[in-house]
Amino acid sequence: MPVAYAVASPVVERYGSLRLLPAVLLVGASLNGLAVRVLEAWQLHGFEQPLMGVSPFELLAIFVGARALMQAAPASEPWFPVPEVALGAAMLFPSSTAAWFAIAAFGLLRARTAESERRTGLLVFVALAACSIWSSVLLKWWAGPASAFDAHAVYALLTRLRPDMAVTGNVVGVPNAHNLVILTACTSASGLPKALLGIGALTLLANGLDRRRMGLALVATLLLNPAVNLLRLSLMAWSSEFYLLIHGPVGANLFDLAQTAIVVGLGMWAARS
Amino acid sequence: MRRQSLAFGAAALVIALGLGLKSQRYASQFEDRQADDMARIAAVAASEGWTQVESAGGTLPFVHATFVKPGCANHLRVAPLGSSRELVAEVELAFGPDVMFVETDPASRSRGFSLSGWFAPGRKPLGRIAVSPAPVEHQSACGPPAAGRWLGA
Repeated sequence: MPVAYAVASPVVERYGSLRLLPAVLLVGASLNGLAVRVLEAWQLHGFEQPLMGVSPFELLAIFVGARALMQAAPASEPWFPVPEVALGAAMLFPSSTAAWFAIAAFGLLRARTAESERRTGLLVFVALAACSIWSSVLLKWWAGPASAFDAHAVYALLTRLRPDMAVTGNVVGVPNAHNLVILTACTSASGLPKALLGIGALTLLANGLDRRRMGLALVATLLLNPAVNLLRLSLMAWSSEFYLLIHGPVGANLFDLAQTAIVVGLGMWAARS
Repeated sequence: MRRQSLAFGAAALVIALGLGLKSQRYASQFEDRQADDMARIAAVAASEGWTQVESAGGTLPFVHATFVKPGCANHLRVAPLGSSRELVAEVELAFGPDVMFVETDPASRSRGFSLSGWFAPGRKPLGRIAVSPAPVEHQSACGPPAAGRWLGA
């Protein structure tokens, strides 16, 4: 009969006490990264948004990343861990974007030498940071083309039903009647990375990675997520009555629910190996 | 044990300090920026004959200021959207909401990107804040502004 013995490992004795430090720092840095968004949501919407502008997939990714780091075997670390100290120092910079860049840099640096769960956890935090950097920094550089692309897609969809539709740049609608101006945050390109992050986090949460299914789920998300968003934009561009309904709390919650259902469904399917 | 307590104590302190610094900076920026933007809009609106009134809601839940003009059926409503760095202006018409948004994108602005490319020729925004004109057939209610004229700040 096998018997378990407690073995005193020199590595654990010396470094194991700080095993949780990267997880604590990365969760703390993520909170710093989300801070401004939470403050904005609270300032503008109060308690109308239960998650205060934070995507449930981001919260899931934080949980999955931290769990993987905490489950990882202790790694030998130098007495003065420079990357950890640098990550802590970056948190003091009063910018959420700086926190995300610091998380990405720290994760990539540590993942180079990490293995198994530790590497997985670090890469989850890198993906989380990349999503925020994409929507808050990179997408702004392509704000015009990204929003114009969605406007033209909506136009292509609606012009088959209504010949009076017109599109100019990121504005689509019926001239002199009802026009929808598509903002950067409403574009399909804005929400897509978080949906992909959700698929990855759900698959890791279920501890069952089937690479083929994972690939198919990611491709399906790439198609379905923008399709649902374009449907929503098309309804808003149809008429002012539809705009008020879809842009209001009922439509917004239904849309969020649909997007969540797609990600959860595909993520669960991908995780079932 | 001492090293462990020191490390986690320092981490907790840094995390809390970072959150505090961000919230402090955000609060001051939000108020300063909003006040600055609203003052600019009010000044331009006043020069165009608009008067600021108590906000009476609107189609959007976050309308910040409402302006009226004598003899004009349109209400000029200005609202911040998403963050202190972006402003959206809305014209709500008395006969029904006709919503036109203009996003002043901070990244575009800092690079001197002109928003005019996003709209039809001749409908060039004059400044950071632009409000779409009312539909042509209803403009007579406000007096005849020049074709394609934008209220700019």
